[in-house]
Parts: sequence; structure tokens; C-alpha cells
Amino acid sequence: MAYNILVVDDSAIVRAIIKKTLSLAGVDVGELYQAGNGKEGLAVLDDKWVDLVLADINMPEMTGIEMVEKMSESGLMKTVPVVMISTEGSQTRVEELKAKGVRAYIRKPFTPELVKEVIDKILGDEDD
Amino acid sequence: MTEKFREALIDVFCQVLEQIAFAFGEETPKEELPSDELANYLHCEVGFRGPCKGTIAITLPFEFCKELAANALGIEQDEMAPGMAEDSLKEIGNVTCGQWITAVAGKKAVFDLTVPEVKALNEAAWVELRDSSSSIAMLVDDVPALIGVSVTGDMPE
Repeated sequence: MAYNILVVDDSAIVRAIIKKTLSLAGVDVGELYQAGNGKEGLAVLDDKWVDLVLADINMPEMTGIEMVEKMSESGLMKTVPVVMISTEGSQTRVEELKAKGVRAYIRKPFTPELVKEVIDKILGDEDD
Repeated sequence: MTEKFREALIDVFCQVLEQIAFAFGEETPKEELPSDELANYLHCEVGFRGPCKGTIAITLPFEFCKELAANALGIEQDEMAPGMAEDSLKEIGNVTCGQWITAVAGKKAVFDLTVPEVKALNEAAWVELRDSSSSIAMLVDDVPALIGVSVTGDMPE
């Protein structure tokens, strides 16, 4: 089954690396949507069917955490799993994110194997 | 810059370069850094704020940033979109900052990072930065680089 994935990151090179990583990991991607910050990400979610969101934390205009908070307010966090991909290594911050409903956290730099493992677990759970 | 901060920054910078862009770095004496009067450089700063605050800085030749971007994406330089050189340095700065904070402050402390900022430097500004006591001279695949960190306040142990 192909999944529609939304990648939210202000860095075009990171979005390109994630796209390549998904391909290397063998993730079956239907549509790959891209957004440069949380606000643009919410606009995509408003307009398109998305199975999974991969989002950075630290972005201009609207951070990944603010985007998750808006998704919680609108009920989207219950239907669209969010995985944060960021550079921060604080366990406290990771626990905060999970308390907000974020399904998993991948720390940069990441490997295709790790990305596949996390996505398989989340989307496999969704399919069950 | 304390010795602990300095050593952690060198280690983390080299690891990040290797993991993201398949490039290899090593510290070098400043007087042995190659000089190129015609070179243009990119200077990236990423700030962090939490129990203490500060900035991580990385400076590399513009042309080499293009090479790093191409390495990271696995494409040729002529296939790259405009802005990828700047973007690759921002990402290296961003990941280096996050990894450095964990290396020196552990996993419990929470820091917020600023969005990385990049600006162009000419040779004169590069020389001034190179000669400052806050910069560390590096060679990355035999290309000159400068890194540094400034911290205000006490970093949690």
C-alpha cells in the first residue's frame, strides 16, 4: 500500500535528503508533499489526504511544536501520525513531544534503516 | 572556550560532516591553513538558549559547501538547485549545534535552537575570523574551515 507523506522542514536540502532516504528505505510512497514550515504544513493537511507527517522542530514562522499544537486543537493528531525529525537530543524534550501526541522522534543525522523501522511500526500499527 | 567545549565541538563537527556529507575533518594549526585570496566563504551561526545561551559558528569556502550539498544528496553539482550550498551549511550547523549540546550538557537539559543564519564572507573577514582566539582551524578534505562556540552562563554538567 502506498502512503501519502508530508515532509515539513525549512531546509530544501533536508527535504531532498528525506525524500531520498524514503526511497532508499523502500517505503512505498504515493504522494510526497513538502512544506517549509508548520503553517505551510497545516495548509497541506487542510487540502490533501496525508497518511504520515515527518516534521522538523526548529523552523521559522511556525515551529513543528506549534504545528502539532494546532493539529491537536483541530483533532488532526488523532487521525494523522506525526514523527518529529530533528537535531535536538534532550530526553526531556522528546517526552514533551510524546505527551503532545507525537508518535516517534528521529534524531538527525538518521539512516534509511532507522526511518523505515519507525515508519513501518507506525503505519503497520495504523493498518492493524 | 573551555577545553571540554573545544574537544566536543571538534569531535561532533567531524562526525556530522562524515554522516551527512561523507567528508572528513581534522584540526590543524592556524598557520598551516591554506589561503586563497580569491575565495568566498559562507559563515553559519546557530544560537542556543536554555540553562545557558550561546552560538555555534562554522565557516567554509562557498565552493566547498556546494560539494558538501552534492555529497549529501548523491548528485552532481550541476544538478543542484540554487541555494543548496547555503542550505547544506545551515543543516551542518544545525545538527552540529544539537549534537554538541547533548555532548556537553547531557540529555536532560532542554535548549531551544535558533534557525541557522548564513552570510557571505570575503577573504579579509575570513582572515580576521581565523586570527581571532575564538576560532578553531580545521581541514575538511584538505579544504580550510573555521569552527567556534561562545557560551554565556554555566553549562549544566
